[in-house]
Amino acid sequence: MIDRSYVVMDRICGNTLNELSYSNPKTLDDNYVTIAYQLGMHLAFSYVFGSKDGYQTNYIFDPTTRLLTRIDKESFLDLPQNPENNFEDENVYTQEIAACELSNLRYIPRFKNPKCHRNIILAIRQGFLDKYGDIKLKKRDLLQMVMDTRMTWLRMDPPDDIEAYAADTLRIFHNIEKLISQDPERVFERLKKAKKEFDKSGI
Amino acid sequence: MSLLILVYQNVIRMVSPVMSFEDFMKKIRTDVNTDIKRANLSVEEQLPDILDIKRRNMQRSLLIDPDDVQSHLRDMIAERHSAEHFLDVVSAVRGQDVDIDSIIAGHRQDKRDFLIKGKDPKTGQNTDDYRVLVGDKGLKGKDIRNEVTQTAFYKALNLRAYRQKASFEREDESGAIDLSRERQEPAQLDAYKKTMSRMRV
Repeated sequence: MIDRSYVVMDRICGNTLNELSYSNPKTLDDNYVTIAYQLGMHLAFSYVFGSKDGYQTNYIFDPTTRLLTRIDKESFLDLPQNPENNFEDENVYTQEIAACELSNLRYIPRFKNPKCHRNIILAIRQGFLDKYGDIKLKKRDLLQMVMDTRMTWLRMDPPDDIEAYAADTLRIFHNIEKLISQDPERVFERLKKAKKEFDKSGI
Repeated sequence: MSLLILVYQNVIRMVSPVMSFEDFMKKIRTDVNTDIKRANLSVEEQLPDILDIKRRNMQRSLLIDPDDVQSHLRDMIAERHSAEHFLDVVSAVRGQDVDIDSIIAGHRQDKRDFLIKGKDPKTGQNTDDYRVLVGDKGLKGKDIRNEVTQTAFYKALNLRAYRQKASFEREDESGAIDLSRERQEPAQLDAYKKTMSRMRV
Protein backbone atom coordinates (compact mmCIF):
# COMPACT_ATOMS: atom_id res chain seq x y z
CA MET A 1 0.00 0.00 0.00
CA ILE A 2 1.42 3.42 -0.95
CA ASP A 3 0.23 6.54 0.82
CA ARG A 4 0.65 9.78 -1.07
CA SER A 5 -1.42 12.24 0.93
CA TYR A 6 -0.25 15.67 1.96
CA VAL A 7 -1.15 19.36 1.94
CA VAL A 8 0.60 21.83 -0.28
CA MET A 9 0.01 25.47 0.51
CA ASP A 10 -0.08 28.43 -1.79
CA ARG A 11 3.02 30.54 -2.02
CA ILE A 12 3.26 32.83 0.98
CA CYS A 13 5.87 35.55 0.95
CA GLY A 14 7.66 36.52 4.13
CA ASN A 15 9.13 34.76 7.12
CA THR A 16 7.89 33.20 10.32
CA LEU A 17 8.02 35.32 13.49
CA ASN A 18 10.68 32.93 14.69
CA GLU A 19 12.87 33.46 11.61
CA LEU A 20 12.43 37.23 11.76
CA SER A 21 13.40 37.38 15.42
CA TYR A 22 16.97 36.39 14.56
CA SER A 23 17.33 37.28 10.85
CA ASN A 24 15.52 40.63 10.75
CA PRO A 25 14.25 41.85 14.14
CA LYS A 26 13.94 45.39 12.75
CA THR A 27 11.01 44.25 10.60
CA LEU A 28 9.23 43.11 13.76
CA ASP A 29 9.94 46.41 15.48
CA ASP A 30 8.94 48.53 12.50
CA ASN A 31 5.59 46.75 12.26
CA TYR A 32 4.89 45.93 15.89
CA VAL A 33 1.42 47.47 16.04
CA THR A 34 0.05 45.77 12.93
CA ILE A 35 1.60 42.45 13.94
CA ALA A 36 0.07 42.66 17.42
CA TYR A 37 -3.31 43.72 15.98
CA GLN A 38 -3.36 40.76 13.59
CA LEU A 39 -2.23 38.36 16.30
CA GLY A 40 -5.26 39.54 18.26
CA MET A 41 -7.55 38.70 15.35
CA HIS A 42 -6.11 35.19 15.14
CA LEU A 43 -6.34 34.79 18.91
CA ALA A 44 -10.11 35.32 18.75
CA PHE A 45 -10.44 32.71 16.01
CA SER A 46 -8.28 30.19 17.87
CA TYR A 47 -10.29 30.63 21.06
CA VAL A 48 -13.74 30.26 19.51
CA PHE A 49 -12.94 27.49 17.02
CA GLY A 50 -10.42 25.48 19.01
CA SER A 51 -7.54 26.03 16.61
CA LYS A 52 -4.46 25.39 18.70
CA ASP A 53 -0.69 25.51 18.13
CA GLY A 54 -0.51 29.19 17.12
CA TYR A 55 3.22 29.24 17.78
CA GLN A 56 5.81 31.68 16.42
CA THR A 57 6.78 29.18 13.71
CA ASN A 58 3.19 29.08 12.50
CA TYR A 59 2.83 32.76 11.71
CA ILE A 60 4.35 34.25 8.57
CA PHE A 61 4.75 38.02 8.27
CA ASP A 62 5.21 39.66 4.88
CA PRO A 63 6.89 43.09 5.26
CA THR A 64 5.68 44.17 1.80
CA THR A 65 1.95 43.64 2.36
CA ARG A 66 2.29 43.86 6.15
CA LEU A 67 -0.03 40.89 6.48
CA LEU A 68 0.31 38.11 8.99
CA THR A 69 -0.66 34.63 7.85
CA ARG A 70 -1.38 31.69 10.10
CA ILE A 71 -0.07 28.43 8.67
CA ASP A 72 -0.10 24.78 9.71
CA LYS A 73 -3.60 24.85 11.12
CA GLU A 74 -3.68 21.22 12.01
CA SER A 75 -5.94 21.56 15.00
CA PHE A 76 -9.58 22.59 14.53
CA LEU A 77 -12.83 22.35 16.51
CA ASP A 78 -10.73 21.03 19.39
CA LEU A 79 -12.99 22.52 22.04
CA PRO A 80 -13.35 22.34 25.80
CA GLN A 81 -16.03 20.08 27.29
CA ASN A 82 -17.52 22.95 29.30
CA PRO A 83 -16.82 26.41 27.87
CA GLU A 84 -18.46 27.99 30.92
CA ASN A 85 -15.50 26.77 32.97
CA ASN A 86 -13.07 28.80 30.85
CA PHE A 87 -13.17 31.70 33.32
CA GLU A 88 -12.02 29.60 36.23
CA ASP A 89 -8.43 29.86 37.47
CA GLU A 90 -6.08 27.21 36.11
CA ASN A 91 -8.49 26.40 33.28
CA VAL A 92 -6.54 24.22 30.85
CA TYR A 93 -8.22 25.30 27.59
CA THR A 94 -7.50 29.00 28.06
CA GLN A 95 -3.98 28.18 29.22
CA GLU A 96 -3.38 26.13 26.09
CA ILE A 97 -4.56 28.92 23.78
CA ALA A 98 -2.80 31.70 25.68
CA ALA A 99 0.48 29.83 26.06
CA CYS A 100 1.02 29.75 22.28
CA GLU A 101 -0.71 32.86 21.00
CA LEU A 102 0.35 35.37 23.65
CA SER A 103 3.92 34.09 23.72
CA ASN A 104 4.32 35.36 20.17
CA LEU A 105 4.49 38.93 21.48
CA ARG A 106 7.83 38.15 23.09
CA TYR A 107 9.40 37.85 19.64
CA ILE A 108 8.84 41.55 19.02
CA PRO A 109 11.95 43.23 20.48
CA ARG A 110 10.02 46.38 21.40
CA PHE A 111 7.78 44.35 23.71
CA LYS A 112 10.47 44.91 26.35
CA ASN A 113 10.13 48.69 26.06
CA PRO A 114 7.48 49.80 28.62
CA LYS A 115 5.80 52.36 26.33
CA CYS A 116 5.69 50.00 23.37
CA HIS A 117 4.62 47.16 25.66
CA ARG A 118 1.48 49.10 26.51
CA ASN A 119 0.75 49.84 22.84
CA ILE A 120 1.31 46.22 21.87
CA ILE A 121 -1.20 45.06 24.48
CA LEU A 122 -3.68 47.69 23.28
CA ALA A 123 -3.22 46.56 19.68
CA ILE A 124 -3.62 42.84 20.34
CA ARG A 125 -6.65 43.56 22.49
CA GLN A 126 -8.19 45.68 19.73
CA GLY A 127 -7.59 42.95 17.14
CA PHE A 128 -9.13 40.40 19.48
CA LEU A 129 -12.23 42.51 20.16
CA ASP A 130 -12.68 43.41 16.48
CA LYS A 131 -12.55 39.81 15.29
CA TYR A 132 -14.69 38.54 18.17
CA GLY A 133 -17.28 41.16 17.20
CA ASP A 134 -17.11 39.93 13.61
CA ILE A 135 -17.61 36.34 14.76
CA LYS A 136 -20.66 37.37 16.81
CA LEU A 137 -22.08 39.18 13.80
CA LYS A 138 -21.67 36.13 11.56
CA LYS A 139 -22.68 33.61 14.22
CA ARG A 140 -25.49 31.98 12.24
CA ASP A 141 -23.45 31.47 9.07
CA LEU A 142 -20.46 30.20 11.01
CA LEU A 143 -22.51 27.66 12.93
CA GLN A 144 -23.92 26.42 9.63
CA MET A 145 -20.37 26.12 8.32
CA VAL A 146 -19.50 24.01 11.36
CA MET A 147 -22.34 21.62 10.46
CA ASP A 148 -21.18 21.54 6.81
CA THR A 149 -17.63 20.84 7.91
CA ARG A 150 -18.72 17.90 10.04
CA MET A 151 -20.63 16.54 7.05
CA THR A 152 -17.55 16.91 4.86
CA TRP A 153 -15.41 15.11 7.43
CA LEU A 154 -17.92 12.28 7.50
CA ARG A 155 -17.78 11.99 3.72
CA MET A 156 -13.99 11.88 3.83
CA ASP A 157 -13.72 9.28 6.51
CA PRO A 158 -17.04 7.68 7.50
CA PRO A 159 -17.02 6.80 11.21
CA ASP A 160 -17.99 3.39 12.48
CA ASP A 161 -20.29 4.78 15.14
CA ILE A 162 -22.70 7.23 13.53
CA GLU A 163 -24.57 7.89 16.80
CA ALA A 164 -21.37 8.93 18.57
CA TYR A 165 -20.31 11.09 15.63
CA ALA A 166 -23.68 12.86 15.58
CA ALA A 167 -23.53 13.42 19.35
CA ASP A 168 -20.06 14.88 18.94
CA THR A 169 -21.30 17.22 16.19
CA LEU A 170 -24.01 18.53 18.49
CA ARG A 171 -21.54 19.01 21.34
CA ILE A 172 -19.23 20.99 19.07
CA PHE A 173 -22.13 23.06 17.74
CA HIS A 174 -23.39 23.99 21.21
CA ASN A 175 -19.93 24.67 22.59
CA ILE A 176 -19.08 27.04 19.77
CA GLU A 177 -22.43 28.73 20.28
CA LYS A 178 -21.54 29.23 23.95
CA LEU A 179 -18.04 30.50 23.15
CA ILE A 180 -19.41 33.01 20.65
CA SER A 181 -21.87 34.29 23.24
CA GLN A 182 -19.18 35.03 25.84
CA ASP A 183 -18.06 38.56 26.68
CA PRO A 184 -14.90 39.22 24.59
CA GLU A 185 -13.42 41.67 27.12
CA ARG A 186 -13.79 39.13 29.90
CA VAL A 187 -12.32 36.40 27.69
CA PHE A 188 -9.31 38.56 26.85
CA GLU A 189 -8.63 39.26 30.52
CA ARG A 190 -8.93 35.55 31.28
CA LEU A 191 -6.45 34.72 28.50
CA LYS A 192 -3.96 37.21 29.91
CA LYS A 193 -4.31 35.63 33.32
CA ALA A 194 -4.06 32.13 31.84
CA LYS A 195 -0.75 33.11 30.22
CA LYS A 196 0.58 34.25 33.60
CA GLU A 197 -0.56 31.00 35.20
CA PHE A 198 1.18 29.04 32.46
CA ASP A 199 4.41 31.02 32.83
CA LYS A 200 4.35 30.52 36.58
CA SER A 201 3.94 26.77 36.19
CA GLY A 202 7.33 26.74 34.46
CA ILE A 203 6.27 24.17 31.86
CA MET B 1 -11.16 84.96 12.19
CA SER B 2 -12.77 81.54 12.54
CA LEU B 3 -11.86 80.81 8.93
CA LEU B 4 -8.27 81.67 9.73
CA ILE B 5 -8.26 79.30 12.70
CA LEU B 6 -9.71 76.53 10.57
CA VAL B 7 -7.05 77.02 7.89
CA TYR B 8 -4.36 77.09 10.59
CA GLN B 9 -5.67 73.86 12.17
CA ASN B 10 -5.70 72.10 8.81
CA VAL B 11 -2.16 73.22 8.02
CA ILE B 12 -0.99 71.95 11.40
CA ARG B 13 -2.75 68.63 10.76
CA MET B 14 -1.13 68.28 7.35
CA VAL B 15 2.39 69.05 8.40
CA SER B 16 2.36 67.38 11.80
CA PRO B 17 4.53 64.27 11.57
CA VAL B 18 3.20 62.95 14.88
CA MET B 19 0.07 60.85 14.82
CA SER B 20 -1.58 59.84 18.06
CA PHE B 21 -1.54 56.12 18.85
CA GLU B 22 -5.33 56.06 18.67
CA ASP B 23 -5.29 57.53 15.15
CA PHE B 24 -2.51 55.19 14.13
CA MET B 25 -4.49 52.24 15.47
CA LYS B 26 -7.54 53.40 13.55
CA LYS B 27 -5.51 53.50 10.34
CA ILE B 28 -4.05 50.04 10.97
CA ARG B 29 -7.51 48.58 11.53
CA THR B 30 -8.77 49.95 8.23
CA ASP B 31 -5.64 49.07 6.25
CA VAL B 32 -5.35 45.52 7.57
CA ASN B 33 -8.96 44.63 6.88
CA THR B 34 -8.89 46.13 3.38
CA ASP B 35 -5.59 44.47 2.50
CA ILE B 36 -6.71 41.05 3.72
CA LYS B 37 -9.90 41.33 1.69
CA ARG B 38 -7.87 42.10 -1.41
CA ALA B 39 -5.36 39.31 -0.74
CA ASN B 40 -8.13 36.77 -0.17
CA LEU B 41 -9.86 37.46 -3.48
CA SER B 42 -7.84 34.76 -5.20
CA VAL B 43 -8.85 32.13 -2.66
CA GLU B 44 -11.78 29.93 -3.54
CA GLU B 45 -14.97 30.86 -1.77
CA GLN B 46 -16.57 27.57 -0.93
CA LEU B 47 -15.40 24.57 1.00
CA PRO B 48 -15.88 21.97 -1.77
CA ASP B 49 -13.64 23.90 -4.17
CA ILE B 50 -10.84 23.83 -1.67
CA LEU B 51 -11.38 20.24 -0.74
CA ASP B 52 -11.13 18.23 -3.89
CA ILE B 53 -11.30 14.66 -2.72
CA LYS B 54 -11.48 11.96 -5.30
CA ARG B 55 -14.04 9.41 -4.21
CA ARG B 56 -11.88 6.58 -5.40
CA ASN B 57 -9.14 7.74 -3.09
CA MET B 58 -11.09 7.95 0.13
CA GLN B 59 -9.43 5.69 2.62
CA ARG B 60 -9.10 5.43 6.35
CA SER B 61 -5.37 5.86 6.41
CA LEU B 62 -4.40 9.00 4.56
CA LEU B 63 -0.81 9.66 5.27
CA ILE B 64 2.48 9.49 3.55
CA ASP B 65 5.39 8.59 5.76
CA PRO B 66 7.24 11.87 6.58
CA ASP B 67 10.53 10.08 6.09
CA ASP B 68 9.57 9.32 2.52
CA VAL B 69 8.20 12.69 1.46
CA GLN B 70 11.41 14.13 0.13
CA SER B 71 12.08 11.15 -2.08
CA HIS B 72 8.41 11.08 -3.07
CA LEU B 73 8.44 14.71 -4.21
CA ARG B 74 11.80 14.27 -5.87
CA ASP B 75 10.38 11.36 -7.86
CA MET B 76 7.50 13.54 -8.98
CA ILE B 77 9.87 16.25 -10.07
CA ALA B 78 12.17 13.85 -11.86
CA GLU B 79 9.20 12.41 -13.65
CA ARG B 80 7.41 15.59 -14.62
CA HIS B 81 9.97 18.31 -14.21
CA SER B 82 7.70 21.34 -14.38
CA ALA B 83 5.39 22.43 -11.62
CA GLU B 84 2.65 22.93 -14.18
CA HIS B 85 2.10 19.22 -14.07
CA PHE B 86 1.40 19.08 -10.37
CA LEU B 87 -2.22 20.03 -10.95
CA ASP B 88 -3.80 17.15 -9.11
CA VAL B 89 -2.05 17.68 -5.85
CA VAL B 90 -0.35 21.04 -5.70
CA SER B 91 -2.54 24.08 -5.46
CA ALA B 92 0.55 26.07 -4.56
CA VAL B 93 1.86 26.09 -8.08
CA ARG B 94 -1.36 25.63 -9.93
CA GLY B 95 -1.26 27.35 -13.28
CA GLN B 96 2.24 28.66 -12.78
CA ASP B 97 5.20 27.67 -14.84
CA VAL B 98 7.93 27.00 -12.33
CA ASP B 99 10.94 24.77 -12.68
CA ILE B 100 11.69 23.07 -9.40
CA ASP B 101 15.30 23.17 -8.32
CA SER B 102 15.38 21.48 -4.98
CA ILE B 103 13.46 20.45 -1.90
CA ILE B 104 14.93 21.20 1.47
CA ALA B 105 13.79 20.53 5.02
CA GLY B 106 11.86 23.33 6.77
CA HIS B 107 12.17 24.62 10.32
CA ARG B 108 9.74 22.47 12.22
CA GLN B 109 11.18 20.32 14.96
CA ASP B 110 9.06 17.39 13.89
CA LYS B 111 10.65 17.63 10.42
CA ARG B 112 7.32 17.55 8.64
CA ASP B 113 7.73 20.74 6.59
CA PHE B 114 9.67 21.26 3.41
CA LEU B 115 10.53 24.12 1.15
CA ILE B 116 10.34 23.70 -2.60
CA LYS B 117 12.77 26.05 -4.33
CA GLY B 118 12.00 26.96 -7.92
CA LYS B 119 12.95 29.14 -10.87
CA ASP B 120 10.92 31.01 -13.45
CA PRO B 121 11.86 29.12 -16.65
CA LYS B 122 11.56 32.26 -18.79
CA THR B 123 13.75 34.57 -16.75
CA GLY B 124 15.79 32.03 -14.83
CA GLN B 125 15.09 34.05 -11.68
CA ASN B 126 14.42 32.32 -8.39
CA THR B 127 10.78 32.29 -7.35
CA ASP B 128 9.61 32.48 -3.74
CA ASP B 129 9.69 29.22 -1.88
CA TYR B 130 6.73 26.92 -1.62
CA ARG B 131 6.10 25.39 1.77
CA VAL B 132 4.96 21.83 2.15
CA LEU B 133 3.61 20.32 5.34
CA VAL B 134 3.31 16.59 5.61
CA GLY B 135 0.65 15.01 7.79
CA ASP B 136 1.38 13.67 11.23
CA LYS B 137 1.24 9.92 11.02
CA GLY B 138 -0.35 9.64 14.45
CA LEU B 139 -3.31 11.82 13.52
CA LYS B 140 -4.39 9.57 10.67
CA GLY B 141 -5.24 12.35 8.26
CA LYS B 142 -7.16 14.56 10.69
CA ASP B 143 -4.50 17.26 10.56
CA ILE B 144 -4.65 17.45 6.77
CA ARG B 145 -8.43 17.54 6.93
CA ASN B 146 -8.38 20.29 9.58
CA GLU B 147 -5.89 22.36 7.66
CA VAL B 148 -7.92 22.56 4.47
CA THR B 149 -11.36 22.87 6.03
CA GLN B 150 -10.37 25.92 8.06
CA THR B 151 -9.74 27.97 4.94
CA ALA B 152 -13.43 28.59 4.33
CA PHE B 153 -13.78 29.95 7.89
CA TYR B 154 -10.77 32.19 7.43
CA LYS B 155 -12.22 33.61 4.28
CA ALA B 156 -15.67 34.12 5.83
CA LEU B 157 -14.07 36.04 8.69
CA ASN B 158 -11.67 38.04 6.54
CA LEU B 159 -8.59 36.46 8.05
CA ARG B 160 -5.68 36.01 5.66
CA ALA B 161 -6.28 32.79 3.75
CA TYR B 162 -4.27 31.09 1.05
CA ARG B 163 -4.97 28.57 -1.63
CA GLN B 164 -4.12 25.04 -0.79
CA LYS B 165 -5.15 21.61 -1.69
CA ALA B 166 -4.87 18.37 0.15
CA SER B 167 -4.16 15.26 -1.72
CA PHE B 168 -5.79 12.24 -0.17
CA GLU B 169 -4.42 9.43 -2.19
CA ARG B 170 -3.64 5.88 -1.36
CA GLU B 171 -3.28 3.12 -3.81
CA ASP B 172 -2.33 -0.51 -3.65
CA GLU B 173 0.22 -1.97 -5.98
CA SER B 174 -2.39 -3.08 -8.52
CA GLY B 175 -4.00 0.38 -8.50
CA ALA B 176 -7.30 -1.16 -7.45
CA ILE B 177 -10.11 1.14 -6.45
CA ASP B 178 -11.83 0.58 -3.12
CA LEU B 179 -15.42 0.39 -4.33
CA SER B 180 -16.76 -0.87 -1.02
CA ARG B 181 -16.28 2.54 0.54
CA GLU B 182 -18.04 4.26 -2.36
CA ARG B 183 -21.01 2.01 -1.82
CA GLN B 184 -20.95 2.69 1.91
CA GLU B 185 -21.03 6.45 1.72
CA PRO B 186 -24.70 7.15 0.92
CA ALA B 187 -25.85 4.82 3.69
CA GLN B 188 -23.54 6.49 6.21
CA LEU B 189 -24.69 9.93 5.22
CA ASP B 190 -28.32 8.99 5.35
CA ALA B 191 -27.93 7.45 8.79
CA TYR B 192 -26.11 10.56 10.00
CA LYS B 193 -28.80 12.92 8.71
CA LYS B 194 -31.53 10.84 10.35
CA THR B 195 -29.64 10.69 13.64
CA MET B 196 -29.01 14.42 13.58
CA SER B 197 -32.64 15.32 12.99
CA ARG B 198 -33.71 12.92 15.76
CA MET B 199 -31.16 14.33 18.20
CA ARG B 200 -32.08 17.91 17.44
CA VAL B 201 -35.75 17.15 18.19
